[in-house]
Amino acid sequence: MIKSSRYILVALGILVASIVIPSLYWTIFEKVPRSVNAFYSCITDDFVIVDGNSKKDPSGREYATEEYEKVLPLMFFRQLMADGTMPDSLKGVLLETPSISRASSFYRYTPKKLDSPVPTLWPMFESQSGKVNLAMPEDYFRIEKRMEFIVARTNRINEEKSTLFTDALTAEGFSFPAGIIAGIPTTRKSCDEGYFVTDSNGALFHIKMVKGEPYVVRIETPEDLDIVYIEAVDLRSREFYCYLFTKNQGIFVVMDEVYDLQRLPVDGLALEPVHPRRVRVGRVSVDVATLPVDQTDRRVLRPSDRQQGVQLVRDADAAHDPEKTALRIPDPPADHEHLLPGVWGSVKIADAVLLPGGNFRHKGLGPDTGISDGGVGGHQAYARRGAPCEGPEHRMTLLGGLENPAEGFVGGGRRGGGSQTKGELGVKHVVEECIEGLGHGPAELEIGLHLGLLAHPVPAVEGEGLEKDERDKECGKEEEDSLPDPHFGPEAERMLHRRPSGPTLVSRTGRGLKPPAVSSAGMRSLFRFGPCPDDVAYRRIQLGRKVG
Amino acid sequence: MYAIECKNLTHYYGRKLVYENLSFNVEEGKILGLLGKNGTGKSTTINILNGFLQPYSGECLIYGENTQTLTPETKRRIGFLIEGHIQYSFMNIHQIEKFYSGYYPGWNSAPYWELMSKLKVTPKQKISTMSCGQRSQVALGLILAQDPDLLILDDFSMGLDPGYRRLFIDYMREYAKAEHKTVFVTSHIIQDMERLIDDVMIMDYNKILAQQPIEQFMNTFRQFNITLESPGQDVDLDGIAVNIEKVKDKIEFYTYSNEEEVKRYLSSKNVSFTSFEEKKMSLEDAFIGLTRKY
Amino acid sequence: MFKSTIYKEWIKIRLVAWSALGLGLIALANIFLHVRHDILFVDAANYWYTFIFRGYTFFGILKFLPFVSGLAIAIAQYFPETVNKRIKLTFHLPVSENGVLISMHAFGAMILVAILAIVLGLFTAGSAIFFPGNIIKASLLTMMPWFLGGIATYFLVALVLLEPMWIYRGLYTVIAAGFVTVFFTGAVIGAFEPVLLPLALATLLLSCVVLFSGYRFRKGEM
Repeated sequence: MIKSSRYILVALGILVASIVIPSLYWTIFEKVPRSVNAFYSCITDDFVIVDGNSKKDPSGREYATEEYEKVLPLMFFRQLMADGTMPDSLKGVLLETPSISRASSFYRYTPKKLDSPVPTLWPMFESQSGKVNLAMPEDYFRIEKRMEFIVARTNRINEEKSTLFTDALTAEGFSFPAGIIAGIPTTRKSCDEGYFVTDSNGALFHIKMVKGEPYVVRIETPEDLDIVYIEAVDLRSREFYCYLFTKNQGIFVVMDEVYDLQRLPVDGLALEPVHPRRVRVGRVSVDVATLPVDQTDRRVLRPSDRQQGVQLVRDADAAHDPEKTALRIPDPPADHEHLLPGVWGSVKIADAVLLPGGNFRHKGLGPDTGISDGGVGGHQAYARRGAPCEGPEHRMTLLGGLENPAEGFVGGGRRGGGSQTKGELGVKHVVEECIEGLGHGPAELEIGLHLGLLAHPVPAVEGEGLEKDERDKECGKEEEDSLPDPHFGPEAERMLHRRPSGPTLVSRTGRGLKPPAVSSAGMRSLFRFGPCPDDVAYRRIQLGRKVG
Repeated sequence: MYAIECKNLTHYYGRKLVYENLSFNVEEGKILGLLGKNGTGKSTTINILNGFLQPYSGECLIYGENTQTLTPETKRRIGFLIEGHIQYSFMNIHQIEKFYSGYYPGWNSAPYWELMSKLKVTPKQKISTMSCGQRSQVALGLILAQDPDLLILDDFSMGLDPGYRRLFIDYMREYAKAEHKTVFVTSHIIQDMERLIDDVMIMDYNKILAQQPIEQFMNTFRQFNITLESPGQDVDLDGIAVNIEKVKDKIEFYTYSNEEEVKRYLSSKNVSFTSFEEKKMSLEDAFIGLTRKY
Repeated sequence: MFKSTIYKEWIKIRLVAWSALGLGLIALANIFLHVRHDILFVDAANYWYTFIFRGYTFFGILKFLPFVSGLAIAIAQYFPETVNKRIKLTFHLPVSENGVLISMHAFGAMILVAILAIVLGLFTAGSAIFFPGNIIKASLLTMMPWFLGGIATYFLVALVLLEPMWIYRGLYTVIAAGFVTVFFTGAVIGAFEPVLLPLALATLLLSCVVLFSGYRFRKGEM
């Protein structure tokens, strides 16, 4: 007894410490969290990112407040009207103030809403009283074994009304007791739409009181819809009644009058991190994350300084199968090493893959775009790390590829900075930007692009300003000294093993890149995009510009 | 049969040693008085005896049971008077009698009420409002009503005036002897002890100086006063005396030896004296004589 | 023997116990007189609204009653035992030391629980006049942590008072303060519901910690 009381005391001490110490710690050390909001501007067709006090576009350019307001006219229309700078129309649509204010709605959902205790007594308003203002009713209802109205003044149940409504509910197939009851319990709303109620089987009902009579509608919902939270809204535009939050199936709105459920395209609401595994390729360690191809917009790879690779597989089961996710990296030819992991196979993907920032969004890549045939595609680009550069090209995402013919494509990359995701951005676009970007400002820049199979075989750009690699001199490598590789055509082979001038590997040792003198104009012709033939084609292109 | 047996008690207060390997016994039916200066470990011993202190090492047995784990049956046979006559003083004399009587099947309230009748208190008067002497009477009455076989009285005389003390001692002795009770008592007031006890145990820092029947002690422990012939003479009496006090040419010393042995010793040490007398001591004198040196 | 123990304990705490009950009754009278008045003036439907949707609690006055009662009863019971180490008298009685301590403790706890139960019962009865079951249930859920906190306070104060060494008393007080505060952290109506059961269990476990202090006392800790 005494022994246990001693242990209980110790347990108490630990419990108290575990409450008090963290609380104290956070009181002292808590930092104001960074709050980032993203808006989409229809004027610039791009995002506007508000990070604390700074307002930027995705490339990092700061907006002044006035500019910022101009760029989001629908949000700041009152200010722009006052300034006289409100446009008449946007993208061909005439703008009228009343319609703007009617269409705008703000909605905020916090986790607290899900966990807070919920009232069980609600006021049922008269929806059509004929009066301008809504009147606070004299009774409250609850839906337990039946629907009961309790008159507040007497604290007694109004049996007549209760029976009336209970019968109406039963007639619609309501199964007591109610689960969620959601409505707007104040008189400060434009009109009353009653309550949205789930019954004990999860079915959804709309309950109102119209001229004293019950109005009960059973709303059609998919079989397995698991509703966890409902919030009714009072929209001026009267587009929909409420937001419906489900466990796994997303967020819906219940459309006005027709009771359609429309799913909101806000997937990726729960962005799960992928946990990469480390794979060694030559001198480089790559963090490879394996994920099913249909989850790419819901997963996040935390940005890091490492080389990162993403391996796409067909489905979730394959993701956990070690055999299917094993990476086969062919050995480099003798005296050569992998620059970046880059082994190419065939691919039938029409478009390329661009991985912006730390958030992988695969555009145009899916089971129906040929990935099921296996094969590898991708392109590889790298830029000098840390090179100061104006223009977007220095922020291009690196992509690399590893072969996994059995299951899919691995594309990888390392985030070099921001990204330029603008809708469907293909490599072509990226490269074009690179080329354009070369015209901007002084920069020490070298971009090497390994294009796999996304380009038709084109004549190798030989000797066009490709200086001999200094390192080659050191190592004494010969251009002609290359072993045929079954994966590559001879020209590709040559290109692969030919070292460009200056070290091209963006390695962790941070060796600098020395750009060759290459005519940028000539490069354009190299790019072709389209479906590939079965034989392997490979090109390595280098772009660069000398400093100064 | 020993009522109390203590073997090799050792205790420290922090780093400070109270005593080491203290052993003593109390025979049934005897009254033992524990004398000692402040801080010599009397309270420690009392606390150990009552199970309120775990000794560093060693054990005490009361009626054969370890005092740290006394059974209720044994506790029933022990009456305990706490130093200062501590009692639940928020009760009055009726309540407190009712409270204690519930625990002791053999409770005999007659002696209690006899004593209470001598007290000049109102029926509802709380004990906390009584004087020291009155409280001691209450405590005494409670113990008598409990009728224990062993009484442990810790400093029963504290705060009492002579009348009460005399009353207490007389009662106690008569009661103990009549009923063949064992009593273990401590006190600062040694004259009282003299009237009460059979055996004496004198404690000093870290050890027992004497443990024997009081008669025997008083008969063997003596004080001699001598006047030296030559005042400046260096006299070594350590061999025979327990305690010595020297003022100019007068020496008072205390010893267990008798007159003959003393004189023999003195002559062997070539100590010449002009006067020699034995002083009759009370227990208090003896106590001081025994403990003064330290 | 148990009867004697109860007899002594009751003598010690009877004044405090009756006062606590009286205080509770006064508080309840206060609550319902105000509820009746406000319902009359604000109209019942609006009054209910402030409770259901605005989180207005009409019983706030009861918040610290359990705490004060638990504290007072514990002090009334155990402080007289610690003065001059009087608990030695109890430990000397011909009963098991742990047993008698548990009896004392259980009695005090029982009286406290009885007082709190009476207050809660009268509250429920009174509320039933004005409010439906939903509101009463929400109110009780909100008040339950306060009442549990009062009981926990009783157990912990006994622990502190009986402990012989001051430094341990200080440590226990700090821990007790930290724990009891949890029961009284302000929260939305009914917010404590998920954690009530664990808190109740923890409080129940605390009922025996006073034995540890008793044990340390008998060891002779200075």
